[in-house]
Amino acid sequence: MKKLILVLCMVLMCTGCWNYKELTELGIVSAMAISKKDNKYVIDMQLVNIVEAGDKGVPESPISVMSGEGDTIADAIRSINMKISKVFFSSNMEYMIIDKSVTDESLEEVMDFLARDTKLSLNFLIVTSTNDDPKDVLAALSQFNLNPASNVSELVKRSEGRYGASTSITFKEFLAKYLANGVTPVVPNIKLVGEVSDADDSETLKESDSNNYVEVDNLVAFDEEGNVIILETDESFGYNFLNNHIQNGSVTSQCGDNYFTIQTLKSKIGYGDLKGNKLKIEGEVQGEVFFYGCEGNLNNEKNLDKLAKLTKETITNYIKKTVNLAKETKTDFIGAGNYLYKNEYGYFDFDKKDWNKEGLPNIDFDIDIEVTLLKQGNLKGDI
Amino acid sequence: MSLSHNKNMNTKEILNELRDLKMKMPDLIIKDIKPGLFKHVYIITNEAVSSGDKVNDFILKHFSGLSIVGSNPLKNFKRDVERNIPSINFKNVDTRESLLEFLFSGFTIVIYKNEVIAYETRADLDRGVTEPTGEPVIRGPKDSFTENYNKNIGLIRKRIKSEHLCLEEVTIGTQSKSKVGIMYMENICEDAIVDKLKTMLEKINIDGVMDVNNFKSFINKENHTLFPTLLYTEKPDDTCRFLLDGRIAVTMENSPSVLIAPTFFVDFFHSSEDYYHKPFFSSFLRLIRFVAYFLAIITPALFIAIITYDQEILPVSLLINFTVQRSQVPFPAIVEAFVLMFTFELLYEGDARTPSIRGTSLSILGALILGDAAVQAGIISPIMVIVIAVSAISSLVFIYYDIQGSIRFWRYVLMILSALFGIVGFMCGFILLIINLCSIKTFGKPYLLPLAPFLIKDQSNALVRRDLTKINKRPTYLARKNLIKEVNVK
Repeated sequence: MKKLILVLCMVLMCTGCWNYKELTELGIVSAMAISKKDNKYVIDMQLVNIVEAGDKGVPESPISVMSGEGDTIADAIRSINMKISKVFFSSNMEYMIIDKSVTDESLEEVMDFLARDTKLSLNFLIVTSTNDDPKDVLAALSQFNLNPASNVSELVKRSEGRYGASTSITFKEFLAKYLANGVTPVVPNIKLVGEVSDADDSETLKESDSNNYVEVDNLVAFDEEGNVIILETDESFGYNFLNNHIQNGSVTSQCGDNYFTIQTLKSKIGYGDLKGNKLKIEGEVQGEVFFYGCEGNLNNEKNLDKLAKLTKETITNYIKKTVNLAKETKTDFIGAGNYLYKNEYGYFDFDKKDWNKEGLPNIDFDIDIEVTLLKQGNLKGDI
Repeated sequence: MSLSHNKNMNTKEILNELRDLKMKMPDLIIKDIKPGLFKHVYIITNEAVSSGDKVNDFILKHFSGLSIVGSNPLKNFKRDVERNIPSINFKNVDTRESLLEFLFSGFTIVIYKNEVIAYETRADLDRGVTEPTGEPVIRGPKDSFTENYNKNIGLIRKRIKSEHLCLEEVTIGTQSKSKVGIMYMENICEDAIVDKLKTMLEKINIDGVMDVNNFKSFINKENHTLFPTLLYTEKPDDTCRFLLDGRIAVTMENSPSVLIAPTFFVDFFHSSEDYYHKPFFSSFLRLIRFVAYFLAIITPALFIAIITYDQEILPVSLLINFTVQRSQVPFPAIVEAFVLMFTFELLYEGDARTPSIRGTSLSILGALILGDAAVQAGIISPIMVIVIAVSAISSLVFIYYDIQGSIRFWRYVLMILSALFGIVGFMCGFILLIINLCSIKTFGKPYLLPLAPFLIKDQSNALVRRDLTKINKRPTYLARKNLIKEVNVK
């Protein structure tokens, strides 16, 4: 019993309340941006304002944005610490904006910092904003969610599966691609719509037809020098098809002067065999008719086959454009190098040679995709 | 019955003494009947403890009817009395002390010359068989034990009409000399357990026991725990169910509950009502009770650990929500939790000690203080009210009151550990709880039977209950001697 008391006393004295923090002491960081200005790191933090809805005499904005500057990222964060009375709580951060100014050599430092901080989770999203100042994006309010950071992260996640022109990437995935051989991460680009000065004004929330909001744009990759490679809509589609990010997306193709849209139900595309310098891209897309503006009876099997053929051409075209962009910019965001590194190790010496400059431009792709239309689509009950 | 003549007793002296006593004891009645010249029959009784009807009908009627000129009615007093007064209990008194003892336990004393006879005319002072107050039920029998020893045994015998139902009596208490009855089924119950319990009871050396609950301190005292190892019930149908499982029931005079031994952890989650519902519903209720038990213990501690150390666990919207609610509260979470818990304990104890007529004012006050005013005043946050309420409500679902002690103890231990070390402290505390549970032995058997060690054959009536036709065996850890219940056996 004496021993037990001794052990208990020692435990109590040695540990104490070292990690104790009350909820009210926390400054909840919902989003963060890292950029560089005049060779100094700039950190912008979006903090959640803890106010009860309907309280009088409190700020109406649900968030505050604070900025700090420093020679290193740690210095920049410390300088924000001087400005607010709360303890940073960044475990639940929704997303991080990596500005185009830190995509060169600084990206390594940024990655190092993010991977080092044990309080950060690995699951926040990485985005970029090529058109706007990251601080403006962080300051923008949302009509749909009191917490604008949740709105942005939901927006990015939803647009991936549904629309198909965007994709979401978490820090964990980003870091894995950043460190892997023969692949470069691709991040979604978000932009502000409307007047920049209005976006952070809570008055805009009172209008039902507000023109100020945050939008998910197409995808963006960075080449080795830190230059921005913007994937256009078609190329973004191609990238997402190639990476099987699209499950319920829609593909619109032309039939004569009219259009029709296919909704994909299942899509599985990947790299296949390597023959000489030719890497095969193969796979299968299944879908159903979603919008039909062409002539011809859908009950006729031949017409369906025709639609499938047209869709196949469209998707092949998307992928072709994506692949060509990668080759042109000498940046392997499509992951072909990584596939070869894993499956055809003898083809290229990744340790000694630069894949992006010496390998990627020399490889050709043979795209062979099957498209099957399972149904003519759905009609409501008893029409 | 032999009524020996006793020359040691000086009845005249005793009568004088009793007359003096009457000055300070108005309920003492001394009646002098003169059936003949110079013949005095004294009838002495205490009207508070004896039944007036019995005295009138049998004793007074007989002596008053004796004729003065009759044929020597009192010539042979004893034989006459034996022949004419019907009474089962009918004692010859030979000392002054025994006379007083008989008098005060409800006997009527008849004195004629030097002969003293005591007749039993005891009044029925017990309350009748009433509904159980501590273990209310919706389905099933609604009678409960009373303070009357014989009535209690009768309530059990009425249900088990078997020659195997044994009753052994011991007297406990050097002053109170309380009669304690040990009941068991001799063809089911293990002899070793009966012997062990008997020696435990015989070893008790104390001046008085007031209730079977006193035995808590003497049985199974080698376990250092607050988990109940003995079960007390006031329901005869419950008692009989336990007896048929091969357990022992201990009754005591003046005690309205019966002690059941040996009992295990799972028994406290069973109710007699479980057997009167369909298996699915009673299994569901049992699982609810198990969940409630752990909720009652861990909810406040887990909440404190999460909001003061490990906020990372919470989703961001919930975190913001909690923070907003706590932003007005000036105290640390643990203080807030203790304030609220203390208020609840006060209400709980106050409610138990308040007559039901006054109960409504208490509940209104409680609801207002706990629910609204404290939150409005900014002393506590609404979420803490919810957390404490979940814990408190969960602790109220138990039938057996003894389990509350373990809930209280572990709840506070875990709360303090959580407040000091966060989720790590909470886990350590919870492991200690499990260790404590596993180390208890009740009559040499593990307390967690049949869960740990896991006995697959006994699972039909442990955490869940299967259909009664499927439970055709008694618990294997209790009734090895006579396992088969012979349900569905041809």
